[in-house]
Amino acid sequence: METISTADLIRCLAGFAQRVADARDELSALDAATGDADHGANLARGTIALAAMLADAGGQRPGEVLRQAGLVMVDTIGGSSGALYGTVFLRMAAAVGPQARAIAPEMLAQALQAAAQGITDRGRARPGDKTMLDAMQPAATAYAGALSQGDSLPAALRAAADAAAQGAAATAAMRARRGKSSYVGDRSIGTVDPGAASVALLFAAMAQIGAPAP
Amino acid sequence: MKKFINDPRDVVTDYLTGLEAAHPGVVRFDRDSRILLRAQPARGKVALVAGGGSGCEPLHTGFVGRGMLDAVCPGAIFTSPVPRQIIAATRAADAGAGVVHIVKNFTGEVMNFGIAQEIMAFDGIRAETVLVNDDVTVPDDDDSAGRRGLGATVLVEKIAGAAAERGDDLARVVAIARQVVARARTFSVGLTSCTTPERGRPTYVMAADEMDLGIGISGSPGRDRVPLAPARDVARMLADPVLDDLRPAPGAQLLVMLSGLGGTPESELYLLYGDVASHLRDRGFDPVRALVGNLVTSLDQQGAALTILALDDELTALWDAPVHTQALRWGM
Repeated sequence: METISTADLIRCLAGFAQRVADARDELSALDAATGDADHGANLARGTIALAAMLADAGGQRPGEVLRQAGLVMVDTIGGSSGALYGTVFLRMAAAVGPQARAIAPEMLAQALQAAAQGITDRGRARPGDKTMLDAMQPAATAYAGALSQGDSLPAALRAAADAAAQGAAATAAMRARRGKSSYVGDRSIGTVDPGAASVALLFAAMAQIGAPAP
Repeated sequence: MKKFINDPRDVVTDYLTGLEAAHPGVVRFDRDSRILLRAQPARGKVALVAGGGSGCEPLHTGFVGRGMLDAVCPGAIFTSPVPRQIIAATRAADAGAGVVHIVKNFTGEVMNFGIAQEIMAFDGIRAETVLVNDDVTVPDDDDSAGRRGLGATVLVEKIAGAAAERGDDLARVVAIARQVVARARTFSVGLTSCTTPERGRPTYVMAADEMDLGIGISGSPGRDRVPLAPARDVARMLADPVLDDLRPAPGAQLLVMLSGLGGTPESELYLLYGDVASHLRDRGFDPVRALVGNLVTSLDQQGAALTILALDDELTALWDAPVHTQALRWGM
Protein backbone atom coordinates (compact mmCIF):
# COMPACT_ATOMS: atom_id res chain seq x y z
CA MET A 1 0.00 0.00 0.00
CA GLU A 2 1.60 3.26 -1.15
CA THR A 3 -1.31 5.70 -0.86
CA ILE A 4 -4.65 5.77 0.94
CA SER A 5 -7.59 5.39 -1.44
CA THR A 6 -11.21 6.25 -0.72
CA ALA A 7 -11.83 2.55 -0.06
CA ASP A 8 -8.93 2.48 2.45
CA LEU A 9 -10.24 5.59 4.15
CA ILE A 10 -13.75 4.14 4.41
CA ARG A 11 -12.34 0.95 5.93
CA CYS A 12 -10.35 3.05 8.39
CA LEU A 13 -13.33 5.15 9.49
CA ALA A 14 -15.59 2.10 9.67
CA GLY A 15 -12.92 0.44 11.81
CA PHE A 16 -12.88 3.50 14.08
CA ALA A 17 -16.68 3.30 14.39
CA GLN A 18 -16.41 -0.37 15.35
CA ARG A 19 -13.69 0.30 17.91
CA VAL A 20 -15.74 3.09 19.48
CA ALA A 21 -18.77 0.80 19.67
CA ASP A 22 -16.66 -1.88 21.37
CA ALA A 23 -15.05 0.59 23.80
CA ARG A 24 -18.19 2.64 24.45
CA ASP A 25 -18.65 1.72 28.11
CA GLU A 26 -14.92 1.81 28.79
CA LEU A 27 -14.67 5.39 27.44
CA SER A 28 -17.66 6.48 29.52
CA ALA A 29 -16.14 4.88 32.62
CA LEU A 30 -12.92 6.88 32.10
CA ASP A 31 -15.07 10.00 31.83
CA ALA A 32 -16.84 9.19 35.11
CA ALA A 33 -13.59 9.72 37.01
CA THR A 34 -13.53 13.46 36.37
CA GLY A 35 -16.46 14.30 34.11
CA ASP A 36 -20.01 13.27 33.40
CA ALA A 37 -19.47 9.72 32.15
CA ASP A 38 -20.79 10.24 28.65
CA HIS A 39 -17.79 10.30 26.29
CA GLY A 40 -18.45 6.77 25.03
CA ALA A 41 -22.17 7.30 24.51
CA ASN A 42 -21.67 10.66 22.80
CA LEU A 43 -18.88 9.49 20.52
CA ALA A 44 -20.80 6.33 19.64
CA ARG A 45 -23.77 8.48 18.57
CA GLY A 46 -21.39 10.21 16.17
CA THR A 47 -19.68 7.10 14.83
CA ILE A 48 -23.01 5.34 14.24
CA ALA A 49 -23.98 8.31 12.03
CA LEU A 50 -20.50 8.21 10.52
CA ALA A 51 -20.88 4.54 9.59
CA ALA A 52 -24.24 5.29 7.94
CA MET A 53 -22.65 8.12 5.95
CA LEU A 54 -19.79 5.86 4.79
CA ALA A 55 -22.24 3.44 3.17
CA ASP A 56 -22.86 6.01 0.40
CA ALA A 57 -19.36 7.46 0.25
CA GLY A 58 -17.67 4.99 -2.11
CA GLY A 59 -17.89 7.31 -5.12
CA GLN A 60 -16.39 10.34 -3.35
CA ARG A 61 -12.81 11.50 -3.28
CA PRO A 62 -10.99 11.13 0.07
CA GLY A 63 -11.10 14.86 0.89
CA GLU A 64 -14.87 14.88 0.50
CA VAL A 65 -15.23 11.77 2.68
CA LEU A 66 -13.21 13.52 5.40
CA ARG A 67 -15.29 16.70 5.04
CA GLN A 68 -18.55 14.78 5.35
CA ALA A 69 -17.14 12.86 8.31
CA GLY A 70 -16.39 16.18 10.04
CA LEU A 71 -19.86 17.55 9.42
CA VAL A 72 -21.52 14.35 10.64
CA MET A 73 -19.42 14.31 13.81
CA VAL A 74 -20.01 17.97 14.66
CA ASP A 75 -23.76 17.68 14.17
CA THR A 76 -24.37 14.43 16.05
CA ILE A 77 -21.96 14.26 18.99
CA GLY A 78 -22.39 17.63 20.67
CA GLY A 79 -20.25 18.82 23.56
CA SER A 80 -16.56 19.53 23.18
CA SER A 81 -15.93 16.08 21.64
CA GLY A 82 -18.25 16.87 18.73
CA ALA A 83 -16.65 20.24 18.09
CA LEU A 84 -13.14 18.78 18.34
CA TYR A 85 -13.70 15.62 16.28
CA GLY A 86 -15.50 17.76 13.71
CA THR A 87 -12.55 20.12 13.64
CA VAL A 88 -10.07 17.20 13.32
CA PHE A 89 -11.78 15.79 10.22
CA LEU A 90 -12.54 19.18 8.64
CA ARG A 91 -8.91 20.27 8.99
CA MET A 92 -7.73 16.97 7.50
CA ALA A 93 -10.21 17.48 4.65
CA ALA A 94 -8.82 20.95 4.00
CA ALA A 95 -5.25 19.63 4.00
CA VAL A 96 -6.10 16.82 1.57
CA GLY A 97 -8.18 19.09 -0.64
CA PRO A 98 -11.16 18.24 -2.86
CA GLN A 99 -9.15 17.10 -5.90
CA ALA A 100 -6.84 14.35 -4.64
CA ARG A 101 -7.87 10.86 -5.80
CA ALA A 102 -5.80 9.25 -3.04
CA ILE A 103 -3.96 10.49 0.05
CA ALA A 104 -0.20 10.35 -0.47
CA PRO A 105 1.94 9.62 2.64
CA GLU A 106 3.36 13.17 2.83
CA MET A 107 -0.13 14.63 2.39
CA LEU A 108 -1.31 12.59 5.37
CA ALA A 109 1.56 13.98 7.45
CA GLN A 110 0.31 17.50 6.71
CA ALA A 111 -3.29 16.48 7.39
CA LEU A 112 -2.42 14.99 10.78
CA GLN A 113 -0.46 18.07 11.79
CA ALA A 114 -3.38 20.25 10.65
CA ALA A 115 -5.71 18.14 12.80
CA ALA A 116 -3.49 18.59 15.86
CA GLN A 117 -3.36 22.31 15.17
CA GLY A 118 -7.16 22.34 14.91
CA ILE A 119 -7.45 20.97 18.47
CA THR A 120 -5.08 23.69 19.65
CA ASP A 121 -7.02 26.41 17.82
CA ARG A 122 -10.50 25.31 18.87
CA GLY A 123 -9.76 24.35 22.46
CA ARG A 124 -6.70 26.43 23.38
CA ALA A 125 -5.14 23.11 24.40
CA ARG A 126 -1.39 22.82 24.89
CA PRO A 127 0.67 19.62 25.16
CA GLY A 128 0.36 18.25 28.69
CA ASP A 129 -3.09 19.73 29.36
CA LYS A 130 -4.58 16.19 29.45
CA THR A 131 -6.66 16.43 26.28
CA MET A 132 -7.08 14.78 22.87
CA LEU A 133 -4.00 16.71 21.80
CA ASP A 134 -1.79 14.54 24.02
CA ALA A 135 -2.54 11.55 21.77
CA MET A 136 -2.92 13.48 18.51
CA GLN A 137 0.34 15.41 18.54
CA PRO A 138 2.65 12.47 19.39
CA ALA A 139 0.93 10.44 16.65
CA ALA A 140 1.34 13.19 14.04
CA THR A 141 4.96 13.68 15.05
CA ALA A 142 5.77 9.95 15.06
CA TYR A 143 4.14 9.48 11.68
CA ALA A 144 6.13 12.31 10.08
CA GLY A 145 9.31 11.08 11.74
CA ALA A 146 8.84 7.54 10.46
CA LEU A 147 8.25 8.79 6.92
CA SER A 148 11.35 10.96 7.00
CA GLN A 149 13.38 7.90 8.08
CA GLY A 150 12.19 6.19 4.93
CA ASP A 151 9.61 3.91 6.58
CA SER A 152 6.78 2.53 4.47
CA LEU A 153 3.25 3.93 4.84
CA PRO A 154 2.05 0.90 6.86
CA ALA A 155 5.10 1.17 9.15
CA ALA A 156 4.53 4.90 9.65
CA LEU A 157 0.85 4.30 10.47
CA ARG A 158 1.96 1.65 13.01
CA ALA A 159 4.37 4.14 14.57
CA ALA A 160 1.58 6.73 14.78
CA ALA A 161 -0.76 4.24 16.47
CA ASP A 162 1.90 3.27 19.02
CA ALA A 163 2.65 6.93 19.78
CA ALA A 164 -1.06 7.72 20.17
CA ALA A 165 -1.52 4.80 22.58
CA GLN A 166 1.52 5.85 24.61
CA GLY A 167 0.40 9.47 24.56
CA ALA A 168 -3.05 8.49 25.82
CA ALA A 169 -1.58 6.33 28.58
CA ALA A 170 0.68 9.19 29.65
CA THR A 171 -2.34 11.46 30.29
CA ALA A 172 -3.06 9.43 33.46
CA ALA A 173 -0.26 11.29 35.26
CA MET A 174 -1.37 14.73 34.02
CA ARG A 175 -3.47 17.36 35.77
CA ALA A 176 -6.25 18.53 33.46
CA ARG A 177 -6.08 22.15 32.41
CA ARG A 178 -8.80 22.16 29.74
CA GLY A 179 -12.35 20.85 29.53
CA LYS A 180 -14.63 19.63 32.30
CA SER A 181 -11.90 17.60 34.03
CA SER A 182 -10.02 20.82 34.74
CA TYR A 183 -12.69 21.83 37.28
CA VAL A 184 -11.63 19.12 39.72
CA GLY A 185 -7.99 20.26 39.86
CA ASP A 186 -5.59 17.68 41.27
CA ARG A 187 -8.38 15.11 41.45
CA SER A 188 -8.03 14.77 37.67
CA ILE A 189 -4.66 13.05 38.16
CA GLY A 190 -4.67 9.24 37.98
CA THR A 191 -6.98 8.38 35.10
CA VAL A 192 -6.49 8.41 31.34
CA ASP A 193 -8.20 11.27 29.48
CA PRO A 194 -11.17 9.76 27.62
CA GLY A 195 -10.64 12.04 24.59
CA ALA A 196 -7.00 10.97 24.28
CA ALA A 197 -8.12 7.34 24.61
CA SER A 198 -10.58 7.69 21.74
CA VAL A 199 -7.95 9.40 19.56
CA ALA A 200 -5.75 6.32 20.15
CA LEU A 201 -8.64 4.21 18.78
CA LEU A 202 -8.70 6.35 15.63
CA PHE A 203 -4.99 5.76 15.04
CA ALA A 204 -5.32 2.05 15.82
CA ALA A 205 -7.97 1.90 13.08
CA MET A 206 -5.65 3.76 10.69
CA ALA A 207 -2.83 1.29 11.39
CA GLN A 208 -5.20 -1.58 10.65
CA ILE A 209 -5.72 -0.48 7.03
CA GLY A 210 -1.96 -0.69 6.48
CA ALA A 211 -1.70 -4.15 8.03
CA PRO A 212 -1.53 -7.17 5.71
CA ALA A 213 -4.96 -8.66 5.03
CA PRO A 214 -5.68 -11.57 7.37
CA MET B 1 -32.14 2.76 37.86
CA LYS B 2 -35.79 3.64 38.27
CA LYS B 3 -36.86 6.43 35.93
CA PHE B 4 -39.89 7.36 33.85
CA ILE B 5 -38.36 6.75 30.44
CA ASN B 6 -39.20 4.88 27.26
CA ASP B 7 -35.78 4.73 25.61
CA PRO B 8 -32.69 6.46 27.04
CA ARG B 9 -31.96 7.90 23.59
CA ASP B 10 -35.35 9.62 23.42
CA VAL B 11 -35.51 11.28 26.85
CA VAL B 12 -34.92 14.84 25.60
CA THR B 13 -37.42 14.64 22.73
CA ASP B 14 -40.00 12.95 24.95
CA TYR B 15 -39.49 15.55 27.69
CA LEU B 16 -39.97 18.45 25.26
CA THR B 17 -43.11 16.77 23.85
CA GLY B 18 -44.56 16.71 27.36
CA LEU B 19 -43.53 20.28 28.12
CA GLU B 20 -45.35 21.49 25.01
CA ALA B 21 -48.40 19.38 25.86
CA ALA B 22 -48.57 20.89 29.37
CA HIS B 23 -47.94 24.53 28.33
CA PRO B 24 -49.19 24.96 24.75
CA GLY B 25 -49.87 28.66 25.37
CA VAL B 26 -46.26 29.26 26.41
CA VAL B 27 -43.95 27.09 24.28
CA ARG B 28 -43.82 25.34 20.92
CA PHE B 29 -41.51 22.37 20.28
CA ASP B 30 -40.00 22.20 16.80
CA ARG B 31 -39.21 18.46 16.58
CA ASP B 32 -37.31 18.59 13.28
CA SER B 33 -34.80 21.16 14.49
CA ARG B 34 -35.04 20.05 18.15
CA ILE B 35 -35.52 23.59 19.42
CA LEU B 36 -38.06 25.11 21.80
CA LEU B 37 -39.71 28.41 20.87
CA ARG B 38 -42.25 30.80 22.33
CA ALA B 39 -45.80 29.82 21.40
CA GLN B 40 -46.31 33.38 20.17
CA PRO B 41 -43.09 34.70 18.61
CA ALA B 42 -42.18 38.24 19.66
CA ARG B 43 -41.83 40.95 17.01
CA GLY B 44 -39.38 43.80 16.69
CA LYS B 45 -37.46 43.13 19.90
CA VAL B 46 -33.97 41.86 20.65
CA ALA B 47 -34.10 38.04 20.68
CA LEU B 48 -32.51 35.95 23.43
CA VAL B 49 -31.27 32.45 22.60
CA ALA B 50 -29.73 29.98 25.02
CA GLY B 51 -28.86 26.33 24.96
CA GLY B 52 -26.92 23.73 26.83
CA GLY B 53 -26.90 20.14 27.93
CA SER B 54 -30.26 18.76 28.99
CA GLY B 55 -30.76 17.40 32.49
CA CYS B 56 -30.51 20.85 34.13
CA GLU B 57 -34.22 21.70 33.83
CA PRO B 58 -35.92 24.04 34.25
CA LEU B 59 -32.77 25.69 32.81
CA HIS B 60 -33.15 26.70 29.90
CA THR B 61 -36.37 25.22 28.52
CA GLY B 62 -38.47 26.31 31.51
CA PHE B 63 -37.49 29.93 30.88
CA VAL B 64 -38.87 30.33 27.36
CA GLY B 65 -41.71 32.84 27.16
CA ARG B 66 -42.73 36.46 27.69
CA GLY B 67 -40.09 38.39 29.60
CA MET B 68 -37.32 35.81 29.22
CA LEU B 69 -36.01 33.66 26.35
CA ASP B 70 -37.19 33.47 22.74
CA ALA B 71 -35.61 30.16 21.71
CA VAL B 72 -33.66 27.35 23.32
CA CYS B 73 -31.61 24.58 21.73
CA PRO B 74 -31.33 21.71 24.22
CA GLY B 75 -28.50 19.22 23.75
CA ALA B 76 -28.37 15.60 24.83
CA ILE B 77 -28.14 15.00 28.59
CA PHE B 78 -25.22 17.10 29.92
CA THR B 79 -23.98 17.62 26.35
CA SER B 80 -24.05 20.97 24.60
CA PRO B 81 -26.28 21.45 21.57
CA VAL B 82 -24.84 21.00 18.09
CA PRO B 83 -24.30 23.90 15.64
CA ARG B 84 -27.28 22.89 13.48
CA GLN B 85 -29.65 23.38 16.45
CA ILE B 86 -28.01 26.64 17.48
CA ILE B 87 -28.39 28.01 13.95
CA ALA B 88 -32.03 26.90 13.75
CA ALA B 89 -32.81 28.54 17.11
CA THR B 90 -31.07 31.76 16.10
CA ARG B 91 -32.94 31.96 12.78
CA ALA B 92 -36.28 31.21 14.42
CA ALA B 93 -35.79 33.77 17.19
CA ASP B 94 -34.47 36.62 15.05
CA ALA B 95 -37.21 39.29 15.14
CA GLY B 96 -35.24 41.94 13.31
CA ALA B 97 -33.64 43.74 16.26
CA GLY B 98 -30.60 41.50 16.79
CA VAL B 99 -29.92 38.24 18.61
CA VAL B 100 -28.09 37.58 21.89
CA HIS B 101 -26.53 34.17 22.56
CA ILE B 102 -26.41 33.48 26.28
CA VAL B 103 -23.54 31.00 26.59
CA LYS B 104 -22.47 29.27 29.79
CA ASN B 105 -18.71 28.97 30.00
CA PHE B 106 -18.42 25.23 29.40
CA THR B 107 -15.89 24.07 26.82
CA GLY B 108 -18.40 22.25 24.64
CA GLU B 109 -21.01 25.00 24.77
CA VAL B 110 -18.48 27.71 23.88
CA MET B 111 -17.06 25.64 20.98
CA ASN B 112 -20.43 24.73 19.48
CA PHE B 113 -21.82 28.28 19.69
CA GLY B 114 -18.51 29.43 18.17
CA ILE B 115 -18.77 27.00 15.24
CA ALA B 116 -22.44 27.97 14.74
CA GLN B 117 -21.52 31.66 14.62
CA GLU B 118 -18.73 30.96 12.09
CA ILE B 119 -21.21 29.10 9.87
CA MET B 120 -23.92 31.81 10.22
CA ALA B 121 -21.43 34.53 9.33
CA PHE B 122 -21.43 33.13 5.75
CA ASP B 123 -25.10 34.14 5.56
CA GLY B 124 -24.54 37.52 7.21
CA ILE B 125 -26.32 36.49 10.43
CA ARG B 126 -24.62 37.78 13.56
CA ALA B 127 -25.28 37.15 17.21
CA GLU B 128 -23.78 38.88 20.22
CA THR B 129 -22.39 36.48 22.81
CA VAL B 130 -22.86 37.00 26.53
CA LEU B 131 -20.59 34.56 28.34
CA VAL B 132 -21.77 33.56 31.82
CA ASN B 133 -18.98 32.52 34.22
CA ASP B 134 -20.11 32.91 37.82
CA ASP B 135 -18.69 29.79 39.52
CA VAL B 136 -16.22 30.81 42.23
CA THR B 137 -15.03 27.19 42.58
CA VAL B 138 -12.65 27.49 39.68
CA PRO B 139 -9.69 29.85 40.01
CA ASP B 140 -9.88 32.64 37.45
CA ASP B 141 -6.64 31.70 35.67
CA ASP B 142 -5.34 29.82 32.61
CA ASP B 143 -4.88 26.52 34.43
CA SER B 144 -8.46 25.42 33.76
CA ALA B 145 -11.27 25.85 31.27
CA GLY B 146 -12.26 28.91 33.33
CA ARG B 147 -15.20 29.62 35.59
CA ARG B 148 -18.33 27.68 34.72
CA GLY B 149 -21.64 29.37 33.98
CA LEU B 150 -24.10 28.27 36.66
CA GLY B 151 -26.98 29.97 38.51
CA ALA B 152 -26.25 33.46 37.19
CA THR B 153 -27.56 32.18 33.85
CA VAL B 154 -31.13 32.31 35.22
CA LEU B 155 -30.63 35.87 36.42
CA VAL B 156 -29.15 36.94 33.06
CA GLU B 157 -32.06 35.35 31.22
CA LYS B 158 -34.66 37.04 33.45
CA ILE B 159 -33.08 40.49 33.67
CA ALA B 160 -31.84 40.79 30.08
CA GLY B 161 -35.13 39.24 28.99
CA ALA B 162 -37.04 42.04 30.74
CA ALA B 163 -34.77 44.64 29.14
CA ALA B 164 -35.44 43.17 25.68
CA GLU B 165 -39.17 42.96 26.38
CA ARG B 166 -39.38 46.67 27.28
CA GLY B 167 -37.71 47.52 23.95
CA ASP B 168 -34.06 48.15 24.82
CA ASP B 169 -31.76 47.94 21.79
CA LEU B 170 -29.16 45.22 21.22
CA ALA B 171 -26.23 47.10 22.73
CA ARG B 172 -28.22 47.96 25.86
CA VAL B 173 -29.54 44.41 26.37
CA VAL B 174 -26.02 43.02 26.01
CA ALA B 175 -24.63 45.61 28.43
CA ILE B 176 -27.28 44.78 31.05
CA ALA B 177 -26.67 41.05 30.62
CA ARG B 178 -22.92 41.52 31.11
CA GLN B 179 -23.58 43.69 34.15
CA VAL B 180 -25.53 40.82 35.72
CA VAL B 181 -22.62 38.43 35.00
CA ALA B 182 -20.16 40.87 36.55
CA ARG B 183 -22.28 41.28 39.70
CA ALA B 184 -23.21 37.62 40.34
CA ARG B 185 -21.33 34.63 41.76
CA THR B 186 -22.26 31.01 42.55
CA PHE B 187 -20.97 28.21 44.78
CA SER B 188 -22.45 24.73 45.05
CA VAL B 189 -22.49 21.71 47.33
CA GLY B 190 -23.40 18.15 46.33
CA LEU B 191 -24.66 15.45 48.69
CA THR B 192 -24.86 12.74 46.00
CA SER B 193 -24.10 12.38 42.32
CA CYS B 194 -26.84 11.74 39.78
CA THR B 195 -27.91 8.90 37.47
CA THR B 196 -27.97 9.60 33.74
CA PRO B 197 -30.42 7.54 31.65
CA GLU B 198 -27.61 6.32 29.37
CA ARG B 199 -25.43 5.05 32.22
CA GLY B 200 -28.19 3.85 34.50
CA ARG B 201 -26.26 4.15 37.75
CA PRO B 202 -24.79 7.08 39.70
CA THR B 203 -21.85 8.82 38.00
CA TYR B 204 -19.91 8.39 41.25
CA VAL B 205 -20.60 7.35 44.79
CA MET B 206 -19.79 9.23 47.96
CA ALA B 207 -19.84 7.96 51.55
CA ALA B 208 -23.00 8.75 53.53
CA ASP B 209 -21.16 11.17 55.82
CA GLU B 210 -19.43 13.19 53.07
CA MET B 211 -20.32 16.04 50.72
CA ASP B 212 -18.66 17.60 47.68
CA LEU B 213 -17.89 21.31 47.63
CA GLY B 214 -17.53 23.14 44.34
CA ILE B 215 -19.57 20.99 41.98
CA GLY B 216 -21.04 22.06 38.66
CA ILE B 217 -24.15 20.89 36.81
CA SER B 218 -23.48 17.51 35.31
CA GLY B 219 -23.11 15.17 38.25
CA SER B 220 -19.32 15.51 38.08
CA PRO B 221 -17.26 15.35 41.24
CA GLY B 222 -16.53 18.57 43.11
CA ARG B 223 -13.28 20.20 44.02
CA ASP B 224 -13.13 19.20 47.69
CA ARG B 225 -14.72 16.32 49.59
CA VAL B 226 -15.48 17.25 53.18
CA PRO B 227 -17.49 15.79 56.09
CA LEU B 228 -21.23 16.38 55.98
CA ALA B 229 -22.13 19.34 58.22
CA PRO B 230 -25.29 20.86 59.80
CA ALA B 231 -27.26 23.20 57.49
CA ARG B 232 -26.17 26.37 59.32
CA ASP B 233 -22.53 25.44 58.67
CA VAL B 234 -23.27 24.52 55.04
CA ALA B 235 -24.94 27.95 54.66
CA ARG B 236 -21.68 29.61 55.69
CA MET B 237 -19.60 27.29 53.48
CA LEU B 238 -21.76 28.35 50.52
CA ALA B 239 -22.11 32.06 51.27
CA ASP B 240 -18.58 32.97 52.35
CA PRO B 241 -16.75 31.99 49.12
CA VAL B 242 -19.42 33.84 47.13
CA LEU B 243 -19.22 37.01 49.23
CA ASP B 244 -15.42 36.94 49.44
CA ASP B 245 -15.19 36.78 45.66
CA LEU B 246 -18.05 39.17 44.83
CA ARG B 247 -17.22 41.72 47.56
CA PRO B 248 -20.55 43.59 47.63
CA ALA B 249 -20.53 47.03 49.30
CA PRO B 250 -21.42 46.98 53.02
CA GLY B 251 -25.20 46.96 53.38
CA ALA B 252 -25.68 46.04 49.70
CA GLN B 253 -29.08 44.85 48.57
CA LEU B 254 -28.78 41.28 47.33
CA LEU B 255 -30.82 38.96 45.15
CA VAL B 256 -30.29 35.50 46.60
CA MET B 257 -31.06 32.42 44.53
CA LEU B 258 -30.82 29.04 46.21
CA SER B 259 -31.30 26.31 43.65
CA GLY B 260 -31.75 22.65 44.42
CA LEU B 261 -29.96 20.20 42.14
CA GLY B 262 -33.07 18.15 41.45
CA GLY B 263 -33.06 15.60 44.25
CA THR B 264 -33.33 17.78 47.34
CA PRO B 265 -36.84 18.49 48.76
CA GLU B 266 -38.10 22.08 48.87
CA SER B 267 -38.39 21.91 52.64
CA GLU B 268 -34.63 21.31 52.90
CA LEU B 269 -33.95 24.13 50.45
CA TYR B 270 -36.02 26.61 52.48
CA LEU B 271 -34.44 25.33 55.69
CA LEU B 272 -31.03 26.04 54.16
CA TYR B 273 -32.21 29.39 52.78
CA GLY B 274 -33.19 30.52 56.28
CA ASP B 275 -29.66 29.86 57.47
CA VAL B 276 -28.17 31.58 54.39
CA ALA B 277 -30.33 34.70 54.84
CA SER B 278 -29.48 34.90 58.51
CA HIS B 279 -25.76 34.59 57.77
CA LEU B 280 -25.98 37.27 55.07
CA ARG B 281 -27.60 39.67 57.55
CA ASP B 282 -24.94 38.82 60.15
CA ARG B 283 -22.33 39.82 57.60
CA GLY B 284 -24.07 43.15 57.07
CA PHE B 285 -25.92 42.58 53.81
CA ASP B 286 -29.58 42.98 52.91
CA PRO B 287 -31.16 40.03 51.05
CA VAL B 288 -34.11 41.88 49.47
CA ARG B 289 -35.09 39.34 46.79
CA ALA B 290 -35.06 35.55 47.06
CA LEU B 291 -35.71 32.74 44.61
CA VAL B 292 -35.68 29.24 46.12
CA GLY B 293 -36.42 26.00 44.28
CA ASN B 294 -35.13 23.65 41.62
CA LEU B 295 -33.90 26.06 38.95
CA VAL B 296 -30.53 24.82 37.70
CA THR B 297 -30.36 21.10 38.35
CA SER B 298 -28.38 17.94 37.59
CA LEU B 299 -31.16 15.38 37.10
CA ASP B 300 -31.72 13.72 40.50
CA GLN B 301 -28.61 15.00 42.28
CA GLN B 302 -29.02 16.05 45.91
CA GLY B 303 -27.44 19.34 46.82
CA ALA B 304 -27.80 23.07 46.43
CA ALA B 305 -26.22 26.02 44.66
CA LEU B 306 -26.14 29.56 46.05
CA THR B 307 -26.11 32.46 43.62
CA ILE B 308 -25.88 36.04 44.84
CA LEU B 309 -26.43 39.14 42.68
CA ALA B 310 -25.53 42.61 43.95
CA LEU B 311 -28.61 44.60 42.92
CA ASP B 312 -29.06 48.21 41.88
CA ASP B 313 -32.37 49.99 41.22
CA GLU B 314 -32.48 49.14 37.52
CA LEU B 315 -31.62 45.46 38.01
CA THR B 316 -34.26 45.21 40.76
CA ALA B 317 -36.90 46.78 38.50
CA LEU B 318 -36.01 44.41 35.66
CA TRP B 319 -36.10 41.44 38.04
CA ASP B 320 -39.58 42.49 39.24
CA ALA B 321 -40.88 43.02 35.67
CA PRO B 322 -43.62 40.61 34.48
CA VAL B 323 -42.62 37.18 33.26
CA HIS B 324 -44.56 34.19 31.98
CA THR B 325 -42.63 30.99 31.40
CA GLN B 326 -43.16 27.41 32.55
CA ALA B 327 -40.89 27.79 35.57
CA LEU B 328 -41.15 31.49 36.46
CA ARG B 329 -44.36 33.47 36.38
CA TRP B 330 -45.24 36.71 38.06
CA GLY B 331 -46.88 40.06 37.20
CA MET B 332 -48.89 38.57 34.32
